[in-house]
Amino acid sequence: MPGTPAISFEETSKRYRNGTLALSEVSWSIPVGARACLLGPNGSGKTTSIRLLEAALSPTTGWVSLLGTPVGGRGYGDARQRTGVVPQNAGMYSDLTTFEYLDLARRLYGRGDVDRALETFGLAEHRDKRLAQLSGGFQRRVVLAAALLSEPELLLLDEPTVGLDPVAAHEVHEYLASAMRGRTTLLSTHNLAEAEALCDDVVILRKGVVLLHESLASLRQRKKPRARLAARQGVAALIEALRKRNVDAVIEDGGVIASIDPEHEAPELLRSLLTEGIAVYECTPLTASLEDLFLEAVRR
Amino acid sequence: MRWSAIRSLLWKELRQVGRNRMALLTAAFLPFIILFLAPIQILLQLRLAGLRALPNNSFPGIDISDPNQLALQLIYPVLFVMGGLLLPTLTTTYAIVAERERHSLELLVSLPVTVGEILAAKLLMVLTVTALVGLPYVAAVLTLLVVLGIGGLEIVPALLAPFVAAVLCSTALSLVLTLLARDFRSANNLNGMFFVPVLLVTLGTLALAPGPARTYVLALVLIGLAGVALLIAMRWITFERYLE
Repeated sequence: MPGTPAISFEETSKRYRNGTLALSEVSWSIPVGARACLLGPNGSGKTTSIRLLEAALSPTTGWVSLLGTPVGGRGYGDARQRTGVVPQNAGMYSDLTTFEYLDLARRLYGRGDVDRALETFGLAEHRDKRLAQLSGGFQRRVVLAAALLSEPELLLLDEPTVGLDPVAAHEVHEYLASAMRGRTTLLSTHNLAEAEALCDDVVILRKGVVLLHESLASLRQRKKPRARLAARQGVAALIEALRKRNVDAVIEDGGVIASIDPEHEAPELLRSLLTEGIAVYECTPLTASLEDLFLEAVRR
Repeated sequence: MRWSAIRSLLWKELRQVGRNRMALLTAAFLPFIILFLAPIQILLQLRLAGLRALPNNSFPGIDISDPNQLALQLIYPVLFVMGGLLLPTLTTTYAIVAERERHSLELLVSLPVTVGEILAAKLLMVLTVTALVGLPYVAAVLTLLVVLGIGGLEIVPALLAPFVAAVLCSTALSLVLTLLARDFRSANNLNGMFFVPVLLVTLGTLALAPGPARTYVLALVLIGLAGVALLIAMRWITFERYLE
């Protein structure tokens, strides 16, 4: 249905049996076609959110829906078969082979080509190996292959690269980038570089509450533009010259960061500094990283 | 619950348990003694020497001065209930605790299945394995009882009913206790706890229920217990606690 969100949480809370409040009346949704990342420190409620969408857990209060269907309600089975899930660091069977697990996934999704998936994910030579015997990188490929076997409309990825070495993580990123193209995705991670590389929208959770839900582009626009400057006369002289011109500037990592719009204000400012004899040899526009935006949101 | 999903999961469960022959052998060892060796030994005693008659009416409602009646109305039902109680516990514990100990439940719930479907498939696997391991023993003993004239054909359903009911009861109770357990060891310890109470219920029912229908009454009581345990397991305990 047009306009129906792919994922929606409405005043959803989840309290565990031990009393921990994992989610506290959160309301957020992502539209069809979005590639959103769910960010937050450990214990912020990311995995709980994914498990509520899988119907592996039930909300204590509120509602959760997947592809326009209430989780656990009528039609949920069909919505779930159109959703691929990559769980966080799941344990592996020592008594099922790669082929048998993927074949189980094919039966449960009701469609998919296991041999093609084995080829696509470079698993053909591990077809008859027990899952627990595979390396971490290959295990993650199996899980990805199972999630993508049925060409799902929606992908839920829970920390897909956690615990992998850099080479294996890079390989998984390549598979993810290709899998996420044109597909609604919710990526739960605390790896900010991963989120920045793969997502357009950000949902930040902390202690079970949504701190922020915005597109990365608009977040960056909200952040005041900045430029990094360097001059032959040194940091102190440059700072003084900038302050004389009412430009906010701070010293960071041995350089001067000026609060100016690089595109519109920098040319005039540089001309003025050079005329005064301040030999500026560097002016680099700074784009706020997701890390900056995340830290700002979490510290707010 | 979707039958197609349960069938696919059952296929997985059977494949896994088939690869764990030690678990199967261990599960089959005690029932072999209780469901086969002990009944055969009693049968031999009935045929060769006759059971030593006990004073009449020392067990309510059974003429135990008749050794055949004593065997068919008390000894065999109790043995079949004991075998039926022992047979599924280890397989149930293995099927559930193994999933928890290797954290593979997360992998399973990432596929389009519900927690209820996972539990249903595990229970069906336990019942299938139990049927494959236990029914041949029971069938052999029942055949011998009929062929040797200890009882007529009516004893087949009368003795099969408490065995099947005990299997269902044990599976459901093991499910509840295993879901509550922290690990394999504590699950086994907890499972030992229900054996004596259920055996007391069995003896009590056999003593109180009237006439030859007593084994059917016993079967109904055990099925009732199974139903309550299953409801508790599926509705209140569930696998959720493994994922929290």
